[in-house]
Amino acid sequence: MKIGGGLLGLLIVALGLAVIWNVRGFPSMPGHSFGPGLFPTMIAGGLLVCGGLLLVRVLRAAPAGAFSVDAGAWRDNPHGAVSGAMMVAAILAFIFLGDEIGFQIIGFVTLCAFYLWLGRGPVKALTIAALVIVSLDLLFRIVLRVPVPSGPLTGLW
Amino acid sequence: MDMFIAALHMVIEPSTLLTLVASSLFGFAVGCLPGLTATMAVALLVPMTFFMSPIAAITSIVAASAMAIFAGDIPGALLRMPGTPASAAYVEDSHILTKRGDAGLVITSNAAFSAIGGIFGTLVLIVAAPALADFALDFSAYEFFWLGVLGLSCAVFVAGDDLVKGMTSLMFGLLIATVGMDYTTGHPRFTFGIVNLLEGVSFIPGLIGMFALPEILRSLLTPGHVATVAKIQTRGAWRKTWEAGKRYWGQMVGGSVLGTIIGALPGGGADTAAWISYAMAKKTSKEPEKFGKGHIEGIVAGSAANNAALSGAWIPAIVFAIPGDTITAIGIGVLYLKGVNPGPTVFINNGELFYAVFIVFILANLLMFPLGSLAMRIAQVVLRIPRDLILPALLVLSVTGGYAIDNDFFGIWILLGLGAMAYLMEENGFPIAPMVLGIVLGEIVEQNFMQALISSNGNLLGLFSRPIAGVLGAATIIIWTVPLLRWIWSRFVAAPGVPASGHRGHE
Repeated sequence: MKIGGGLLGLLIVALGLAVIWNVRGFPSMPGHSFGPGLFPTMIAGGLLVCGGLLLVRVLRAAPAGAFSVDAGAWRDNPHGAVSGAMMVAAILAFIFLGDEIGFQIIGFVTLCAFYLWLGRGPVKALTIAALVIVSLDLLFRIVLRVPVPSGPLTGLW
Repeated sequence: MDMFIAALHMVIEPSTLLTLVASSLFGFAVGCLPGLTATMAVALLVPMTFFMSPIAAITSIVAASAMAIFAGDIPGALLRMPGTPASAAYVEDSHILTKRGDAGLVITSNAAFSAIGGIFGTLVLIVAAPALADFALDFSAYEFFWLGVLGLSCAVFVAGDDLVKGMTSLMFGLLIATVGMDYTTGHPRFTFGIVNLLEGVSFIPGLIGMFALPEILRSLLTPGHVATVAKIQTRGAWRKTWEAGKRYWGQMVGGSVLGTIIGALPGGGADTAAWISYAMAKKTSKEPEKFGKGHIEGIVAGSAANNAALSGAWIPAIVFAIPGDTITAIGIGVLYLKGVNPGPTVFINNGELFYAVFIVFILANLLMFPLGSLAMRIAQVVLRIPRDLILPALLVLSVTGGYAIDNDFFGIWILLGLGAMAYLMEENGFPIAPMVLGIVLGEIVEQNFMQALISSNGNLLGLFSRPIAGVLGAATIIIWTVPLLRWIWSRFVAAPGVPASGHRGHE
């Protein structure tokens, strides 16, 4: 996804301003005129300079699409776009359903979904997904002793 | 000597040796797969280092990165697709030589000169790091502040051809580093009421997100194909490599020296080292016209340089806690995680551990000689595995790794957030390395800055009050003003009226 240089500049300037706005209420250190807000303010200054330079660059050259977002690469590649969306969905599933359903089942479903979507046959998809999940589970839960949330599978093996 | 023997004991522990071999093979597999970088190999290993002894943890990082950088050469030769960006400089030569039936020579040369470069860098590290550490023992917050700023400045200038975008990336990193409780007063900053952010943005899930997610996504967007790998003729390969080494020993030494120096510069990294060494080899060669047309000379220099850079990058990382590249940035994170704080006192507090690390460096590089021969066989298997089988598995591995660090779902949020940010940044031409270094160094730079300001009563000139700090500060200012002066020169003096851009390169 390509964001126009002008829009980028504006976003970066806005971020700098937001930081300055946010640190306004920070206290000073006792006996000094500065405090926790000093370093973020300096960073915000840097952001303002960088965003400003990006804007100046765009205003001088005035390239087309400087203030727009071009999602062409995604639009022209629907298969890839679905893969990307599946990736985000899978990560969100781990976050929101991880505790209840368990990482093993979510991982297995994720792998099956991807393998089928990427053109593998169902038997192959299921077999490989199962193999990968069992090895990852062995690695994390058994070897590294990470308390991987296992949902209904807890205590099964 | 006692220290060396104690260090040797740490290394010959079966668990350390096993980690060395396993991490090497893992690094080999990741480096071998086009599109997956050495940094990603290391980032994916980090959750596992969490559960290892300090020496095993560092071993895994050193071994995986060294092997990944070497392995990146193999698909470059066989498929004209560099496995990691560090192998891109000489991919044409490698591939043309392979098409001529010389794949054996190319890959054994990659292995041999990678190992030699890596060992050279390690020897420099062994000599330079303790000496530098000794020198830096007197450093105070002033010097460390300037060292940090100098490191970050180099990172911006080396990272890419667009200075403004490099600097923006650095600012993002520094800003992320300020999240959490402030060092001086404990005041929460940019936490938006989220308790998990009080301790700051957890670095390792962020790293996995920044290095793994964009690469997985990009690879998913361009559906892979199963590579057809030709059978490689290995007979006589080592003899030819020996001859190439004898003939081009100057390039081998040059690549090693240049690689170590570039690696030691913050932001340098293995890919820059390979490009510059290749260009330098071409410039100093008696047959520059053969470069890019299947000539081994540039491969000798480049292979040595990228592995030398890996070792060189550890010099500032160990002595000043300033990472030379993204891999050492992760390495430093792991060191802190293990309670081993890098800095000038490491050889006093953890001498044995670091001598053990040096031995591991040598072993990891020596391992390339046997793996060099094996490599061709393993590569033929690895490269036949379709990418679409590996990518989803890497996704699940990344997410589980992001969780495993703190056993907390918030880690996965950080993974997703920073991963998406890194993807967008790279899509729009912002280099990632300055942001990573900003995240790693931000806290240290700010702490030293605040300490120095407090002891000088808020006087900014106080930052220059000690001699070494003054020199470092002046160097930083020169680094930043030279491009500015050059811009003013080109804009107002050299060619008045001709619009010039205030940045290097263009969008």
